[in-house]
Formats: sequence, C-alpha cells, structure tokens
Amino acid sequence: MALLVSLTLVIIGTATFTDYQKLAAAYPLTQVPGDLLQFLLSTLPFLVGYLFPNGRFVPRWTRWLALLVLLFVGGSTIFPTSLFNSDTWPGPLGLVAQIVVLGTILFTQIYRYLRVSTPVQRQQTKWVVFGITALIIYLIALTIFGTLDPALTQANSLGVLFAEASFVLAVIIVPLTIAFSILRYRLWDINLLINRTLVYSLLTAFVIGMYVLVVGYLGAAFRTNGNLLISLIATGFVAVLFQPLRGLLQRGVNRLLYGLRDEPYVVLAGLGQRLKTTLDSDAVLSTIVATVREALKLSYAAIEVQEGTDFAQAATSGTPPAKEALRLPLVYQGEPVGMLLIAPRGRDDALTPADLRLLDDLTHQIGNAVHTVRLTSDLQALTQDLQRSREHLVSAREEERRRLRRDLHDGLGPMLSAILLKIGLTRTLHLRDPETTDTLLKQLETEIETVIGDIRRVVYNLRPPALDELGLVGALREYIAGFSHAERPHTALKVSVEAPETLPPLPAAVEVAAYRIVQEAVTNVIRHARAQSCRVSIQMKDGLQIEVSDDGKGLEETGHAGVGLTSMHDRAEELGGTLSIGKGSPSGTQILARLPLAKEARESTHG
Amino acid sequence: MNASQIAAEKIVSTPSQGEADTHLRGYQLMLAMAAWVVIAVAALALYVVTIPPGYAQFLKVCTQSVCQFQQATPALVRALHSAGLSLQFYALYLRTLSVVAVLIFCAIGAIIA
Repeated sequence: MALLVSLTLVIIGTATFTDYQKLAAAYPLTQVPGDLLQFLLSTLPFLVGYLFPNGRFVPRWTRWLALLVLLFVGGSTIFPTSLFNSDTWPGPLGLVAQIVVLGTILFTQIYRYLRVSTPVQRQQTKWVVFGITALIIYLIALTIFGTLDPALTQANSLGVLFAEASFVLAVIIVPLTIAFSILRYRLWDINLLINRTLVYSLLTAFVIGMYVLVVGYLGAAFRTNGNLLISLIATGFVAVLFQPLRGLLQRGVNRLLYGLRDEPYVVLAGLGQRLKTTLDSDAVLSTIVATVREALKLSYAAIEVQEGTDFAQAATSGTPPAKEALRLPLVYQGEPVGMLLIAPRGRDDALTPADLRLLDDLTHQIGNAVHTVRLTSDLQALTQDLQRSREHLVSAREEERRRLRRDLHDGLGPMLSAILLKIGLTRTLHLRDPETTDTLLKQLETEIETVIGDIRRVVYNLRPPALDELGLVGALREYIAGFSHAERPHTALKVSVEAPETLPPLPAAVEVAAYRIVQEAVTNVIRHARAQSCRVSIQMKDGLQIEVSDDGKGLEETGHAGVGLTSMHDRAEELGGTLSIGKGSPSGTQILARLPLAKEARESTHG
Repeated sequence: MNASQIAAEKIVSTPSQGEADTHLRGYQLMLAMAAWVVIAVAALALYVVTIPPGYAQFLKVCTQSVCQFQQATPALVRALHSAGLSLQFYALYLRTLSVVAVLIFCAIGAIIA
C-alpha cells in the first residue's frame, strides 16, 4: 500500500505541473511515456481511494467496481474520443457517473472506517481526511474571496502571486497528511489537530465576520468609507472579544469532541445534581453510569459492585464493547467496593490522560456512592428480615395462643364442667346414698388428677419447669437421664451431656430455645439415627453454643428438612442465631446451634 | 490514586480474522520497487524537461483576449513594475513554486516508499 501511495504522490506531483500534450508536440519521443503517466494520473488516485489504508478491497465486491472505474477512466485517457470518456455521453449522464464513482469511494471508506478498520487504520484515515478537508476548505475560501475581489486571484494583478503561493501550500497539505498517516500517526494526536483547526477556523471566521459587520455598520451609520477611526473601533471590538470568544469556541469544540472531559467541576456538579433528584436508591448507580457516559461521550459505562470476592453488575449504559472494557477500581476508605467499566468514545479512540484524570476524580465520588448504595441495600435487606421476623413472632404468638385456647377450651373446660356437675350430684346424693356418693367422689378424685396433669402439660409446653428449678444444664441432665439404661432397658443408646457445672444467667428465651433444640435433636437421634451414642455439648463461646452429635447412619442424601429440623432452625433464627446440620466425625450427624446473648448476658459471662 | 496509577487494562487491538497480508515480499517487492523507480524517474524527467519552456512561456506577455493559464497580461506587468518587480521575477516565482511543490510530493513519495 505504501508503494502505491508513494507512486501516486509522485505522479500527482509531477503530472499536475506538466503539460504532456505540449511536451509531446515539442518532443514527439515523450508521447508514449507522457500518455502512460497521464493514464496513471487518472487511475491511481481512484485505486488509492478504494484501497487505503490497508491495501484490501472492502467490501470485497468493490474490486469489480474499481476494475470498471479503472477501465473507463484509463480508457478515456488513452482514447479520449471513445465511449470510455464520460464527456462524450449524452446529457447529464457523465456528471451522474462521476458522482456515482466518487460516491462509491466515499461509501467504501465510510464502510471500512465503521466496520473493518482497526484503531490505527482509523487514525490513518482521519489524517488523510483532515488533509483533503483542509484543501477543500481552502478552495472554497479562494473561490469566495476571488468572487468578492477578483484582483486577489486573476493574473492581471499582484493578487496572483499570493493565490499561487497559497495554492501550493494548500496542495502540499495532502501529501504531508498522507505521510503523517503512514509514518507518524503515533507521534502526533490527530484529534488534537482537528480540535485546534476547528477552534481557530471558527475563530477566524467570527473575527472577520465581526470586523466586517462593525466596519460596515458604522460606515453606513456615519456615511463614510475607509475611515481610520471606524477601523480602529472595529479592531478594538475584535480585540476585546477575541479571548472570551476563543474560550467559548474551545469549550464548544471540546464538548463536541470529548464531552465534558475538560470541565470536571461541571461533571461533578451535574452528577451531584442528578443524584440529588434521584430518590430511588436502586436508580442511583444507573444515574451515575448514564451521567459518566454522557459527560465523556463514552460508548459504554457500567458499575460492578463487589460482593465478597465476586463482582455483580449493578448498572450499565450504552452498548457493551466487543472487547474487554477498561476496568477502574472503585474504592471507599481504602476498601474496594466495585469496578467502573469504561469503553472509549469511538472504537478508534483510546482514553487520554485527561480522560483518566477526570475518571480518577469521578471514581472517588462513585466509590462513595457505591458504598452508600451497598449500605442502603444492606439496610433494606435487614429491614425486610426484621419485618419477616416480626411477622413470624406475631404468627408464632398467635399460634401459641390458639393452641393454649384449644387446650383450655377443649380439654380442661369440659373436664372442669363435668367435675362441677358431679360435685352438684354428690351434694344431692351424699345424705341419702352414701355409697354412690363415695363412688362419685373417687371419680372426681381421678378426674381432678387428670386436670392437674393437663395443667402441668400446658405449663410445661409454655416453659419447662425444670429450667426454673435446675437451670439449663440441670434441666438437660434431668431430661437426658430419662434415656439411661436403667430407665429404658430396651435401648442401647448412650446419651451424655458435656457442659460446665454452672452457666451464667441466661435470657429465658435462650434457655427455652436451647432446651427445645436439644430435646428435638435427641428425639431425632432416638427415632432415626440408629446410633449407639449421642453427645450433647453446651459451651459459652460468643454466645451459647449447642452441639448434638451421634454415631448413627447420618443424614439421608435426598432427605429434606422435616418439621423438627425446621422448628430447630426457626428457634435459632428467632434469636438471631444460626443452626447448621452436617455429617458427624467420623460418622453420624452433627447439629450445631449458636445462640447470641444480649449484651448484659455476655458481659456477665465474661465477668 | 492518580491517573497513572489506575489499574487499567488497555485494550490491545489485533488484526481481524481473515485479514490478508498485503505486504509484498521477495521478487515481487523487487519488481514493484523497480517499476516504482522507473516510473518516478520518468515522471520527474519529463517534468524537468518542461521547466525551461515553461519559464520561457511565463516571460511572454499575452495580448490576446484569451490567455494561457498564469500567463502574464499587460495589466500584470504594469502592476509588477509599479511594485518594483520584473517579469523575470514573476516567471521565476511561478517556476520556483511548482518546483518546490513537485519536490515535496516526490520527497514524501520517496520517504513513504
């Protein structure tokens, strides 16, 4: 490609300034090489247009189009009067054909730029487009000024000297930019050059426009022409406005090309303002990525929130890049809280140091915001847990009341009513039928004993009396004693309790929960484990730790939590504790419950 | 943390799959280079040949209604004289500009090649 471009430059440079027809008239020997060079001059620029910058036809079908174009352009050079020459075509067909050819070149370059080119190739294309655009602008300006003042360009005035020199300068911009695009595209930033060119071109146009307007307006107002005072006033006016205008234009062009990269305060203020109006905490991170993307004109921005060692995507804006995005760590007080993912503006752009400086400022603020959002999310989750817990407590309390009511109403109530009736009957019969009365009294005695037993059962279900009488460890030992060989000679299970002799005073709820968990766990061992031994361990370790382990067959692989296990879990969680069930060592099952203690209880434990 | 310390993973561009290598090698490169030299030397030679007649052409003052491109007119000659410049200066000026432009094109072409 470099050879083709270099040959094209040499041909354009020499052939533009050589009249081959005149040369052939004076020296007939130069006819053939002259025609050949003319042919190359006509065809090579088209070929470069189709192939630049990587030397391939993109899309591939454009090779046939290029071949057709070269055939006609070359043919018209060699046979100027043939049908190859579009000038011989009827009507506007020739003009249309030329527009179509230029259009296809433009299409292939745009297609290539958007779809195929690598970032480096896009930089190269930008350089050449910059040079050609500069030449076109020069030609337009020359035409305008030549129309306004013909003396500037016509060969009958000294203006021609300026016009020729400026033309040569404008023309050599194209080979210079081509050379930069091929040799030095990494050395100079074309984006900066475009930026400055835009600013100073607009500034020049504004300054000239203002000068002309002021001079014209004042000249018309005072009916004078070429007045020195008016020129001085116009110059002063332009001088006063120059610096503010330049700043304004520079900001405008920067915003056009880079977004708000050079105005970090505006970005931060805008971000703060948008966050202020964002009431929903779920929308905060979305607002941040949208603001960052808009402010820097990025193609993609996203935030990943750190959860343990993993990162979860929390908000995105724009289309994710095909390749991996730039990842900037978000930190709050030295602790990583997430990642900011960034993809540059265009696919050919890399983030500049200025972009990274602004992003550095932004990541501090975003880190704070992510931390706040995480806190808010945690708080929301905690609040939901609390709400669920409260609902569970209310539900459990109501369930307990219902059970109590049922026991009293369906059990004790009818029995006491029956006793009352029998007492009435006894009073009626005790004088005239002492034998029947005695029988009734015996029945009453039995029924009252039953009532007392029922009352004890109800009271026991509310809170085992042994807890108040013996404490947690004593109550558990008494309960476990019921499984001794002497009490149950038919069972081989040995149950042991390992616990300190005395425990500090524990909250009543913790005592009941611990007692019930042990009760349920041991019952499960008896019913399902087929174990030889079961060990119950009670320890004070950051709260109350209860461990029930056995050497039985262990948990079933497909077994799901039954009512008993769920009940144990619920009892632990109601108190903010945990309960885990796993395999015992070396076999069997191990249940481990941790019940936290209130602050006072912990202090008395450690004291 | 400053911008230079940001732990950023730069995206490294790689040629797209199926991209053909368009660089010439071996005898193809030799042939292409030889063709380049022949054509460039021919083009430059033909241009050099046109410099003296071109210069002479600019020394002629056109008195016709239709003149050749850049050829001096009596009005231009008067303007030149009033500015203290001669027709020879005008011809030399135009030739020099064209030579400078051609040399720049050729030099850049040679550097790229």
